[in-house]
This record gives sequence, structure tokens and C-alpha cells, in this order.
Amino acid sequence: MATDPGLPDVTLTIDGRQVTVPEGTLVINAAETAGIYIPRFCYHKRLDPAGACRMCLVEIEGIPKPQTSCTVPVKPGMVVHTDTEAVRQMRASILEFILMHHPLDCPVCDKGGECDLQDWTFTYGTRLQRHDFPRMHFRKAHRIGGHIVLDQERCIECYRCVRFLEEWGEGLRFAFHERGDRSVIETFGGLPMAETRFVGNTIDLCPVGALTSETFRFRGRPAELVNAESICPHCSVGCNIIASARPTLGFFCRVTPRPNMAVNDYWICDRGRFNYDWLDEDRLLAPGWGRGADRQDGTWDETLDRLAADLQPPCESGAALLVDSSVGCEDGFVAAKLLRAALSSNAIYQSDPAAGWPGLTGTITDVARCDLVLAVGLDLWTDLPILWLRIHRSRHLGRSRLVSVASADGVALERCDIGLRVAPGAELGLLRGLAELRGGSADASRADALAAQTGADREQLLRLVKRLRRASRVAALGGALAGFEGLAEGLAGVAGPGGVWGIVPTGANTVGLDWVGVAASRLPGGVPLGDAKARTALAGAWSAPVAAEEAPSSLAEALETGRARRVLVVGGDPIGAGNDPLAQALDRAEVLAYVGTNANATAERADYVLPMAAFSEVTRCVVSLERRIQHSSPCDRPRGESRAGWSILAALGRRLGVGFDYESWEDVRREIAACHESLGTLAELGPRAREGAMKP
Amino acid sequence: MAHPAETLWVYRNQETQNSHELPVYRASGGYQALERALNELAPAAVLEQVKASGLRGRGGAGFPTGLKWSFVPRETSEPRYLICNADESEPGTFKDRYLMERDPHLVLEGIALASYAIGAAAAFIYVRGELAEAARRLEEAIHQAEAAGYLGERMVGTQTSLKVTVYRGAGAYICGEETALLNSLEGRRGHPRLKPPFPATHGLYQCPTVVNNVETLANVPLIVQNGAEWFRSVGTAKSPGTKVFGVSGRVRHRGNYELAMGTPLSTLVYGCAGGMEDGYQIRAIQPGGSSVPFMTPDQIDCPLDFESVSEAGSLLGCGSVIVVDQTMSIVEACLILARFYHHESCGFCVPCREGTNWMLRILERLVAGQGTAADIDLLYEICGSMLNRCFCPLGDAAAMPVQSAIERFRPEWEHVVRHGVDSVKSNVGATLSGH
Amino acid sequence: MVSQAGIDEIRRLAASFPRRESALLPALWVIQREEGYLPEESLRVVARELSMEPSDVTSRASFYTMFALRPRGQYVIQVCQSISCALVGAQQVIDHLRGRLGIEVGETTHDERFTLLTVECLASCGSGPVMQINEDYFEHLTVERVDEILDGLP
Repeated sequence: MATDPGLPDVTLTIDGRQVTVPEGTLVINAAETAGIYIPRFCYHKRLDPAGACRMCLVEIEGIPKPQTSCTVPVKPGMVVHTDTEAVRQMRASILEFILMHHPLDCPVCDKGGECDLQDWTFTYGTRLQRHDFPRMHFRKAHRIGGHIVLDQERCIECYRCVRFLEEWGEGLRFAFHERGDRSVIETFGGLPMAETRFVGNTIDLCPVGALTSETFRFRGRPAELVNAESICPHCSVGCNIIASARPTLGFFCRVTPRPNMAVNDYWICDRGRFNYDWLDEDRLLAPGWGRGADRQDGTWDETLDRLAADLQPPCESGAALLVDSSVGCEDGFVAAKLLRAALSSNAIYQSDPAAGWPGLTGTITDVARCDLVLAVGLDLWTDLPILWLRIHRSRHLGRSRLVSVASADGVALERCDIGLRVAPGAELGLLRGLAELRGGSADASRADALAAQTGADREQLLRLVKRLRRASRVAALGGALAGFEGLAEGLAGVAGPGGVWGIVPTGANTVGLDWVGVAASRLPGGVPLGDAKARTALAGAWSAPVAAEEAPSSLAEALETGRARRVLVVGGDPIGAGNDPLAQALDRAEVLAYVGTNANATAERADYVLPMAAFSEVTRCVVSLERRIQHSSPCDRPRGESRAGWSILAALGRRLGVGFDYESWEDVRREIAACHESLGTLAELGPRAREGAMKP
Repeated sequence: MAHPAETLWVYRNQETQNSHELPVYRASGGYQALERALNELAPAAVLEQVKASGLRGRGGAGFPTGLKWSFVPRETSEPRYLICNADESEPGTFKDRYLMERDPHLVLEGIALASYAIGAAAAFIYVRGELAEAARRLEEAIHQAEAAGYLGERMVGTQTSLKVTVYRGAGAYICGEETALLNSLEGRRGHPRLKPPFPATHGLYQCPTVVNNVETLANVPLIVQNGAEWFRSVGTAKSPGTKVFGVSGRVRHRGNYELAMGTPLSTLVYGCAGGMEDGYQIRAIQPGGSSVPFMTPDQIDCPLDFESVSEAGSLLGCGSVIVVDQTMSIVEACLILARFYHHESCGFCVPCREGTNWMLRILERLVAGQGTAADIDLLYEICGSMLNRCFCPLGDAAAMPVQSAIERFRPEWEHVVRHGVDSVKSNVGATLSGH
Repeated sequence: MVSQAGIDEIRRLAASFPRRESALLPALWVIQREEGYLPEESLRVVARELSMEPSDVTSRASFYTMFALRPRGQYVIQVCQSISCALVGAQQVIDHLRGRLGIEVGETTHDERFTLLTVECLASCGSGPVMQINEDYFEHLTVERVDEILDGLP
């Protein structure tokens, strides 16, 4: 358990060493600070202590019975022994008990190589099996949904999984059924769970192979994996992950969380963990041109030459760029430069409708510390699961309340403390009204008027107003509503000074792409396009002219008005994404070039297909919703002939006569940094960058 | 008919006709203590009186009751709860059942006084699921007492009120452990909770809570009525008052006997219970329910109080005397106990969950005549690996009797290994018929 | 399926406790009284009424041995096998019942009339051997008395 840093220190002795730790620290953690790692199964730093496995028993002078070091807080002058003959005997006997009915099927167990039971047995076990009765048998290889395979026989009942489900918001989707030595983990009726959100974390928590990943099953031993520190590409939270692959065999293996207390704590969501089949399946492997049946593969040179000829300015029809908001800063920067410097166009757009807003005014931790979080038109549980989880943790600890406001029916109003349904389009009015009610006098008639005006339930609204007036710190988060007009002001008004607010982006790099200039009206560093001095400076840096003409406000408009007919799409699948007007508009393009990873609807329609390496195959940086700059390293080789996005775009740019002289991603970063003083932070690669520096 | 050795305090109404009815209880002086306390005494005065009496918990642990009450914070905005632990499940124990069935108002009066002393406005009686009759009697008694103004709103015309709720368990021995009981009462699995924090500060719904045994609470009206000195006039200095002792096994008059603390075990077995049935001899005795170490027949004069039984190497527990006779081998007795603890282990911690399983298997093998001398040593070692290392006392309860049985009856174990269980049994040919 | 009256009772119970989940055991008693055991569909109803995960409800219900997750006979016979009753002949009672009913412990007769179970201490240590048939106690058992009792059942 986390201790308050403001607490006084306590000095105690552990195995003859003096240890000083904050009051309230558990003995097991105090020992760790002294370099003594006490064996454990049930204890986990981010779960409430259980004291169930008894593996961490130690001797404490003055206490006659052995004590579980995971449940005893330090006391001044305490003398702890973790390495006596008696303690070693206790550990051996606990292991003997645990192994009585354990199937010992390590050779076919996915946990082998990273199994706590294996490790501790090698360290403290007796290697002698005195239990000679038949082992108890339970269900094996049971698919319980959520991409989890359960082996009830391997379970040692440490309760980490169910404690996580209870303490971190998923709810007991599975639980221990029966009791005593008959107790086993089971779902309701043995049926697979549907719609899980965080259960994948129980796989990492499981100290044995009882809960394993369906998608990673039998795909490799830990020692065979190439692991890289990476950032999840699936949403704007920016969860820190370990991406693992087996490049020699040519497949991606798994995603596991990389603890970062500021961002994702110890967890990731199930979407981030299990949604990676696209890295191995239906990849674009070779460049080519021609639509549908006319598609033919070519070499990179051939393909880029043809595309360059098609795009070559001057040209009657202008060019436009659509960058998926999950694309890295390097790729986005080079793409935008290509448009401005080589194709004389500012028709540069992102897929995320929330692009252009600066992200949150505070950090995720700031949001979690607010005593009231108001989410308007946002489904945090579905779209930003880990942000929901961080807020939920505060709720679980009784420090926060979550209020959801939405006009459409949907899950947005579940899993919160107050769910307020309002009439379509009434969100802004509600926000303005709440801002007034928060600051002004408590007048029930005004709340009544607001309820009537917005169509909100009166009782719920009164509860919300009461909470809001009591709250000392408020976070107000807005999502993709029909238009953002006035939303920022509304959110800022409710949050008030000292609060956190923001229009929440959904893309993994919406904020970063905007920052490096993937925007129709902003140059790198967020400088307005109209700033002639800045344009001139940029032209100098790039040794190329920078387009000055203002572009339409949206890609659809650019296409419909005919101002752009040649379109470059980088990443994503805008045609297959379900946005029909945009898909129809894109279909009108004379030339559609697709720089992307997978054979999807956009690739199918494209005139040129330029296979791009995926996030796990390149070095890249992204900026999260809290404006945290985070770096991601490759664990895998690019599939087929695919290349890093920036490298494809640079090769195209050179063919269009502009200097794009990059040998590596580092050169791209250097150029980004040179574009604007604020961008220095993004290119920085020191220890600060590892923690994730904040965008100024 | 009461035995002359008995001191009938909490069991004084056991033989009375319709003792569970309110008028009968009132006629025996019932609810006078409550009326007096609520009208004349401050809660602190009631607490002080119980503290001064030296009353110790009758559920098994023997913790001083007044001290337990005093841990409840006096100044708190949180609700406080009083819980009557009526989950009587210890094999050999059947005293609380009769208190509830035959004298429910005595229990309720105790609950009302304890609630008043700690400032609880709600009390729960957690009754073992199997004891349906006791639960019914208590519910009827609550209705009667509420109608008569002894419970509910404005009790005996004062500002004090108390809502008493009967809560039925559903078959789990572990719920007699007070924190497991709290979990069960919250509708959860009956796993024990981590201590500290203790129930006195973080109990039911994390609010200050006192959990007392039925017999403990039944003593409270008597103490309030007659004073601490009166209470201390019986029993020993450290274990004052009386205790309801239950005797089971092949004694002539099985049953409950209320004796002064410190009465010799021999008085109970030979005096009250009339000694062994014809042809039966004592092999071993558990003086405090199935969870305590065995005593040998030569310890029959041990005084029955917490200290003396402890000195004799066992525990007074809940005062339930189980007399194992020569028709049952000590190994069989251990098997029956092991089967119980295996069945009742909640499975939360490793040594209890796995240890009770392993003990049972080895004992089955020994009784089946397939055990070895090494099994005896292994069994003894397993007991050692469970003792003091489990999450709650259930693991100790499983290990202690078997450990003591091996220590005190080692030759018999070895004989059983060599010649089988029947070789150590004297068979009196007793059948059920004519019992 | 649990009746509307049963659901109403569960709702009343839920409202009667300081926290709704406390009503779980009483609610399960309501179901078992109505249906003889706890069918999955009814567990779902309890989960809904008490705002719990269904798996959590089964988890808690299956901890307690008096709750039956599968159907049982009309008469559930539970014979105490703990030490005090064992000392006075519980095993003979159990063996007699096995023979008479033609089933093993844990089984139900084909006509679904009897389920035979052993149980741990019923707090009749002074009056054993003891068995419980549904909620009623029968003490001081002998083989002859067991026959009389079973013969006398409606």
C-alpha cells in the first residue's frame, strides 16, 4: 500500500541492517528497500494485503508467533529476522503444502520461466514430495472469456485476481466458488464472461499458470521473446507497455503493462492487451499501385516514382493529407512537411475530431485527485478505460465521485455515481448552469429551472449540484459532441480555477500530431499559419517554400469543393471506419495514396499502397491526452517490405524535389526540434524523456 | 433436576415450564436489570460493572468482556453494533442452543444491556443456520419484548432504542470466528478478516462493533442486577462466575451443567454426569470442545477454569467436555476430528487448507490399517507446520488435538500401525439399542 | 423461478439492512424455501436485486453448506457425524439409513423423496445420535427409532 510521503520516518532492524522507512510501511516493503526480497505469493504492491499464502512469514523479536510481513506495519526499534533456520523451514513447508495438489505440468505451462511458484520452489523448496496421495483434479484449459484460459488445478489461491477485480472496478466477473480445498475460481455457471474491460491484468497478477492468455498461449517462453518498452497505440491515455515479439519467427507475441504510477499504474485495459492480431494478419507487405483487380506489386522505387509523377506540382487539383491520430510524431511531421513544402497545400487533417484542442489542463493524476469528475458526452469505461480505472480507484478509496452526462442512450451513464441524461444539445446549457450554481447561492429554484431547460432528472441534478458545491477540486472532461462550439468555456467554467478541464482526444497521438504541425491552420509548435515570419523561418529551415494559402476546415469540405483531389492517407482506415460522408468524399479523390499497415477498405480503394511499419516495429514518440510525451521502441522487424512511415514519406518528398535528408528517426526528431523552440522537449531523449516529459 | 454441585445462574430457567415466554421470564425477575440500568445507570456505569465483575468470554477465547467493550470508541459519529455470536458449532458444544430455545429473553436482556453500554442502536444475533428452532424462539421473543417496551423504540420509557435482528447463518463453522461472522453478516464469504484493525473499531460495515457469545451476554443481566462482587463470589479470582459445561460421550448423564469456575473435572464427569456407562472406561478427554488438546484420565482432578486447564496442557475453550472411551481408538477420534476441520476449513490460507486435507488422508490411511510409523511422524510434523502459522485459529484447532494425541498416546499410535485400530479397542458390544 | 412474493420479500430484506448486500443470506433462504434449492436463474434474480455480479452470488452461496445448488429430495436427512455423536453410535445410524434407503451419503433416492447427508455437529452432543430432517431435529436415535421416524413421514 502506498504510504503518505508526509509521514514521519521509522527506523528498524531487518537481518541486522538498519532500515529507515515512512511510518505505515509494511515490513515486506521495508525489507525490500534494504535489498531483502521476502518471498510471497498473495502480496502485491497495488492490492490490499491479504495474508493468505503465509509465504512471507518472518520472525519479529518480542512476538512469539511468526508474522506475515505483508500485513505488519513497521514500528520503531522493531527487530525482524527473515533468514533464520525457522523461517526457511516455514517457507519450505508452505511450498510443500502448495505443491501437494499442484499438477507440476510446468513443461506445458505457459507461465514457465516467469512463474513465482517455480522460482520460489527452486530457492526454498525441499525438492522432495512427501505427499503421496492422489492429487485433487479440477477443470483444466477452461476458456472463461475475456481471452483468459483458466486452469483450476494450477491455482494456489492467492486471491490476487479476485482482489484486483474487487478493488479496481471490474467487479467479480469470476470468483472463488465452494470452500476449503474444494474452492476453485469459476465464472457464473461456468459460462464465458462477455464484455470484459480489465480482466487481462489478472494474467500478470497470477503468480502461477492458472490464468493465462488465450492469444499468447503456446507462443513462446519468456526467454525467447524480444521485449521493448512501448506505448499502447489504442487510445489517448498512453499506457506504458512492454511489447513482445519473436522477430526470427516473424510474429508478435503479447502486450503486458509497464508500471507507470503517473499514467496506467500497474495496469492496462483488455483492448490494449489483446488487440494485436492486426500486427500479424492482413498486413500490407509490398508497395504497389492500381485499384482492385488492377492492383500490382512493384518495387519501392517504381511505386514511389509513379506516385511522385501523379502528385508532381504544379497541378490543377490540390493535395490533401489525412493522418490517423494514432500515427507517431515523426511520421506526422514528415507527412505535413511534404504537403506544405512539396505539394504547396495546407489541407492537413487528423482523424480525431477533437484534434486542435490542447488536451487536459492537468495530468491524469490531477483528475484522479479531484473529488468530483464530470464527464460530458464521454464514455470513459468504453473509450478510455484506464482513465476510468484511475478515477474509479479514487472512488473505491472514497476520495472521488464520477458524474456522467450524456444526451444519447448508451453505456456512458453506467459505472458512475450519478448519471444524468439530458436533451440532445443541452450539454452546453447544463455546463453553463452548473458553473453558475457551483459559485452562486444555493437556490433550488435555479436548479429546477436548469432541470426544465436541459431535460435532466430533477433529483439527480440536485444531487449533482450538492456534490459540486461541496467539491473542492473538480475535473470537467468533454467528449466528441456535435461541434465543440462553447464546450471548452463550459468545461472551464464548471472546473473553475484549480480544477482540471479539457476536451478529451481519443487518438494515441492527437495532441502530438497537432503539435508537430498536422493541422490545416497551425505550423509545427502550434504557430498560426498566418504568421508570415514563422513561415519564412520554416521555409529557411526546410530549404523549401511553405504554402501560405488557407485550407478548408475539413477534409470532406476540401474534397467536396474540389479544392483537393489528390489525397494522401497516413495510417488508420478512414474508408472502413464507418464515417460514410468522409468515405464517400474520399472515393471522389483522383489519386488516393495510402501509407498504412493493413489490407483494409482504404487500401482496397487506394491507387497507391505504401506498406508502413507498425508501432511495434519502429521508434516513435506520441503525446497523450494529459500532454505527456512518451517514447516507444521496436520489439519486432517491419513486416515484408514495409518501412517506417517517415522514411516512405521522405523518399516521396525527395522525388518531389524537396530535401528530406534523414538517415534515421533521430534525424527526424532533430528537425522537429529545430522547427520551434517548444518542440525541443519532444526530441529530447534523456532520463526525463523516459519518465515522460510534459508538453509545455 | 439440578445436581447439587451446580450453581444455576444463566441456566436457572432451563427446567421451568414455558421459560421462553415473556411473562414467565418476568416472573423470575427478568428485565429488572434492564429497567434499572436504563433508568438509573449511565452506559459507562454498566460497562464498569461488567469490567469489575471480571466476566470473561464464554465462546472459547476467554477474553475479558468489559475490556472488549471498552475498546469501542466513545466519541464517534459512526453507528455502533452489538453482535451476539450464536453460531454455536464446535463439536461437543450445545449450551447456547438451550439458552436460546429455553431462555431467549435472558439472551435478549443481555444484548440490550451490552448495546446500552457500548452505545449501539442496532444488534444482530447471528444464529447458526441449523438452529432453526432457536432462531424462531428468538424472533418470537423479540416481538414480545418489543410489544412490552423492552426492545425497540423508547425502551422502558427512556430515550434509548435498540433494533435486534436475527440473522441466520447457512452452514459454516468458521463463521463462529468473529471476523468471519462479520463477513457473513455482510453477505460475504465467511473468510476471517485481517486483524488489526479489530472489530471494536472496524467491525460490521467497518463501524465499531462488539461480538459476544450467547452465554457471555446471558451473564450480563445477572451482573447488572446483583453486582460485580456477587459475581466474583463464585469461581476463581481470574475466572470468576459460573460456566455451563457440556459433557458428551459414554457418560451416564450427558448434558449441560452450570458449575462454578474452578470445579474439578472429576466433579463434572463423576458427580454431575454420573461417571461412565457400564463397561466403558475413559481413554482421553477434551475439556473445551473438539479444538483443544487431549487430556489423559489421570488429569481428571484438574479444576475447570481458564488457568488450570492451560497449566494442564489443554484449553478450557467453551467448556465442552468430550469423553473418549476405550471403544474408540485415539487414532479414530483424531480421524473424526480431522474430517470435521477438513470440512470446515474455509480454504483462505495455505497451511489450513492443505494441512487439513493432508491430515485427513494420513489418518484415513492409519485407521484403514495401511499406515506406517513414518506417517505418525509426518502427521506430527504437519501439525507443527500449521500451528501458529495459519490466518485464523481454525488451523490451530485442527492441529492441536492431533498433536497432543500423538504426544500423549504415542504407544497407542504405534500399536495401531502394527496391529490395526481394533487391537487397541475394548469392545463392550454396545449397540444403539437399549441406549 | 422465484415468485413475485419472493422478489418482494428480497426487496424488503435489502432495504432492512444498513447495507443491501447483508440481505444476501436471507435472500438465498427465501429462494431455497420456495424452490428447495438455488437454481441459477434465481441466483441471477438475487444478483440483480442486490446489484451484485452473478458470479459473486454463486461464490458466496457455495461457501455455505446449507445452500443447495442442485435439487435435492423432499426430505433432506442430515446425520451428525461429529465426535460426540460418533462416540454414541452415529455410524450405525448412518449405515442403517444407507441400507434402508438404498443410497450412499450425498445421494438422493430415485423417487426424489430422500436425500441422505452427513453433517458436522448439530449441537445435540448431549442427546445424540441426532439427525435433522429438513428443519426438524430427531435426537437419542436408535435404529428402531430411525425406522419409526421414517415410517411416520407423510
